[in-house]
Amino acid sequence: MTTKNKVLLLRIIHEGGDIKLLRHHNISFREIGEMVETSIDEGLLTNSDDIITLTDQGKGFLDSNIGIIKERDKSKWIELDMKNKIRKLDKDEVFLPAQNALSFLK
Amino acid sequence: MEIVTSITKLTKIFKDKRWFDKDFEEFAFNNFCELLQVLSPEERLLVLELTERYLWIPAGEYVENIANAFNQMPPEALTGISKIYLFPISKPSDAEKIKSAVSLLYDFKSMSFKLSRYLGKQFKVVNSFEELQPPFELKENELLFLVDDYIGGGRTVNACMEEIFKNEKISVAQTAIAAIGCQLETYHKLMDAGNKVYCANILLKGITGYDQPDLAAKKIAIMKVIEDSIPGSKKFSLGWEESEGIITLKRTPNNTFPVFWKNIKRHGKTLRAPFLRIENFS
Repeated sequence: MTTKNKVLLLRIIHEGGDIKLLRHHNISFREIGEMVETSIDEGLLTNSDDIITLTDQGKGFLDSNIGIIKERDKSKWIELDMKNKIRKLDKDEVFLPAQNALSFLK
Repeated sequence: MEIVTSITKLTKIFKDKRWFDKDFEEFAFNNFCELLQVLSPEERLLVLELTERYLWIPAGEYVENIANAFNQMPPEALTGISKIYLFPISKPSDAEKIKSAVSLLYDFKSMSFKLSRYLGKQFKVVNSFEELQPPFELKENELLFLVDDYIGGGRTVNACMEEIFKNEKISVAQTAIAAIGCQLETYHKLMDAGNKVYCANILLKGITGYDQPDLAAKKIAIMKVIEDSIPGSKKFSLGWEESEGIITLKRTPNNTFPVFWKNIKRHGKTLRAPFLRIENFS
């Protein structure tokens, strides 16, 4: 489990967030279950009567590592749609794309 | 119950039951998790509770389980017996259908030499009701075993016996029933009717077999709300004939709660069941 994934998991549990974010990072359901178990063993989480919460140690860990999951590079906030990028056109050129070449029209 | 907690609990159940070692465990586990995501907290709690009580016996564990059932026959009952007929439990009307019991019988036949109390006895698989009709007769040194992987409400086994016992040369005393799994109520009914029944696993009803009436009623109400999101589940509400089954074998019996084997539709998405039962296969 990478520190980034661990921080993501702790934040989701702390804020009651959606696990889709973890799935978006290609973390399997099985890995999510394993990560929680490991974090409980490490003292970052506690499971009391089927309620999983952050321990003080977990909160401290989240606070000091939250920066890892915050994207500071603004250019990465929105991913470039490279597959639909076309070459630079001359101002007098008319570009007629093939219908089946435009994935966003499908 | 929050989603992360439910996935953690499911992981623990899979580990405790050694389900991660089984065939298609990834399919089952992932489908369970997808299902948990669309359930409400109280629905998750119920499904996980039933999963804890659930029995999953894949193909690879059939032989040891059926051997377990056969080994329950007391050695003295086998004294003087030299030939044992094996018949797959089926209804006369379903005789043409492929029955899981048939392959089970051949699996069993191939390993029967490992069962010390049956050593030296001849096994013969009977493939049709016709073979058991007169002039067939069970001799004094012969036994007939009716075998299936699962006995739910008992309708099939009763129809099977009714047909077989039309032949007066086959007596109840010389007949026994062996199964991998059997619902407790059916087991008692069969025993009370004087049958010898040997089962590797006897199963309580998933909810009413475990919980007090008040609590059971609440859980059944929750289950019915889940079933409202399962297309085609009305006929199988709480399992066929409300069996409340909590078992998957090679194929999940329709006696099992539909949430485990029928696809659920929620939030515009259809999600595959953990123990999906393919029905359009004949």
